[in-house]
Amino acid sequence: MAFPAYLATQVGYIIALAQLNNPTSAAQTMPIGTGPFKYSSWEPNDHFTVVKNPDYWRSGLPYLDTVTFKPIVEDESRENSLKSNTIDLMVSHDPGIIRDLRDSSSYQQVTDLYSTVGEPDMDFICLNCETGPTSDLTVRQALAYATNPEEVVKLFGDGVLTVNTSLYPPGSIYRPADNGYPKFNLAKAKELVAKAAPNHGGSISIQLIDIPDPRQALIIQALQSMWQAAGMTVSLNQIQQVTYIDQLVGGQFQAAADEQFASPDPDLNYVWLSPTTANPPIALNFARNKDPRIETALQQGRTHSDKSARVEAYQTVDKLLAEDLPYLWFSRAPWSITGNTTVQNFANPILPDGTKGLGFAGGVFSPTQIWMKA
Amino acid sequence: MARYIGGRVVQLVIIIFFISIVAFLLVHLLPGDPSTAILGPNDTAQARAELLRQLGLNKSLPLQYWTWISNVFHGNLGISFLTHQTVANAIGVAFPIDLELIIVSQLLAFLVAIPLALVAALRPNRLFDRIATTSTYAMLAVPTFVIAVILVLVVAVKIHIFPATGFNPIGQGLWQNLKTVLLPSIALAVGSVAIYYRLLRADLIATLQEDFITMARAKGLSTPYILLRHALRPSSFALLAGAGLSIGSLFTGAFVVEILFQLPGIGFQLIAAINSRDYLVVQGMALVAAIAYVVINFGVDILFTFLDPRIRRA
Repeated sequence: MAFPAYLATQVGYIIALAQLNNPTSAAQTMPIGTGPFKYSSWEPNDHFTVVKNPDYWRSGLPYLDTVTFKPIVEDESRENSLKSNTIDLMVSHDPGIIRDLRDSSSYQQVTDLYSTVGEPDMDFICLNCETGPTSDLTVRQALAYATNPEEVVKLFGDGVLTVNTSLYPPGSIYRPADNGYPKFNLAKAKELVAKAAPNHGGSISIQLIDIPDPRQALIIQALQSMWQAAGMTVSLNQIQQVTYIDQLVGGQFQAAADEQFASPDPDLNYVWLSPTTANPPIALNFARNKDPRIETALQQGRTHSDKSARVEAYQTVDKLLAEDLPYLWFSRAPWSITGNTTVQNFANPILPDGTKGLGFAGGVFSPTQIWMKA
Repeated sequence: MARYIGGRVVQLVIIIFFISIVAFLLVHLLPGDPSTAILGPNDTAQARAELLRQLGLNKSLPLQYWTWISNVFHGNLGISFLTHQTVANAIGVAFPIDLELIIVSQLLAFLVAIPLALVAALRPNRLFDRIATTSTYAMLAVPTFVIAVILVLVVAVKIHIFPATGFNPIGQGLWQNLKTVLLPSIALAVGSVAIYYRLLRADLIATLQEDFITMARAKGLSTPYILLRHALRPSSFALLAGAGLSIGSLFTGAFVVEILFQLPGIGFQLIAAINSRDYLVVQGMALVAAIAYVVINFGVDILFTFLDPRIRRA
């Protein structure tokens, strides 16, 4: 069932033999593909420019002659660049910026907040189920009861985010009516901390890691305060993204603020959720949750073409995640793409057979059918 | 004079030698196997073999240094294992941006600071002097990133005169280039204006009380002539020393402005390389920035000898 979705990932990319056989560094810096645009130039940290591919197999496309991608790291700089007409189109992940640009008539915006293809990205805390205090289910339960997602969303959602304590967003067929995820209950959290503490030397100390982002810093400070209110000792560590990823993959963390799981079909998340990928040295199941029931459900979803069987399988996955608690959910992590009014058709791709393609998911969009209004 | 310059050149060579050792050791001070740290996720057999060849990691430390410094003298600072581009190429892109940013910002700073100081020093503690001195206090107090953000919001976002981010090389036209350089240069110049104004004003006030100035006035020379021909040169030593330090530190100190304006200069690239643990780029950029710093200060020292005969004679 998920095969077409897999084909739209790296699995489906056709790479030229000439590139694979090229022993020089040009093979890595000058890609050869089958897409609508051809490589033109790349200046690391500055721009990547592509030009129209005259031999593109879909006649009449693309409409644009040149597209320049600029890596503007800071969200505010990107927003200012759009507002000053320095750029035409920008991707953003920041709820405050999504709100600002959404409410302005000078721009047009597409977000995955209200409709999405499959599952959107989720904001959550990833807990290491293999080592440290978070390997104890009672500690994970204490953390879940001590976390108030409503408060987090109220403080940092900028009026854009809504609470989501499930792997799936509201309206998804895979979302069970009640997955059993723990609701905020400080008294219960304190009770669980008292129960678990003797097994951890008398007190529970958690280190929460995150990337060095100002908004994230505030979020993890709020979590620190919530968890400490339940009687745990919490230290924060904001580390560079490459180190952060190393620690997630290598399992050298206890709790990590994370976002993940955008996929057009739930089977594409198999690699992140399956116990088969929770083993060293490189565990893509970062939480290392090895519940065999999850594997059974994932296999059921993967091997059945019957819709109801798949729905049942992925609802079971969600319920088991709420029981095992490898993830503490908060809300959806929204993506948006905003353009000035001259940029047309940036979320309405039409497939070669005339059907409508997937417009915008997980921050990814296709520039093939964009045109600019004079 | 020649002996003085010769001595300073020897000092410069020694300093650069020590800088090169520190830059070389940067990779070796990383925890664990340097090749693993440098290659990170690109740690393939082919990449490892290439790195061994580049850095001679299987040789003794002095031999490794010799291999590395020989490569540096041949313009070979290694290849980034992240972007697969040469470090020399990355520096070749970044260095001219910093150079232009520094030249334009310092020209702006001198253009504002020198006339202000000349007028203020002429009548110290009068209204103009007080306004200028207070304003420069304010300039010193406001951090560069705040000025940069205000400039972007007002000039780029509201009025749309200049772009908010990005850099156009001079090859795309002088005006296109200046459009991307002026705002960051102004942001950098504000702090320099305040420092240069204060240094020059203080020295000018002292110089204007010297006997030779009184003599010039007695001869009936005009005030602008006295200021520009007699007072400015002997009052500019502290200004030049300040400029030397300021310009040198801008090579890496401008990174906040470079990040806000997305200018891929040395500071910006250095931060990006540190964040992505692209250690050969970090090594190359740090070496170039440090050498630029000492060479600029050397240039300023030499300039002093032309301005002040006492240094030549000492």
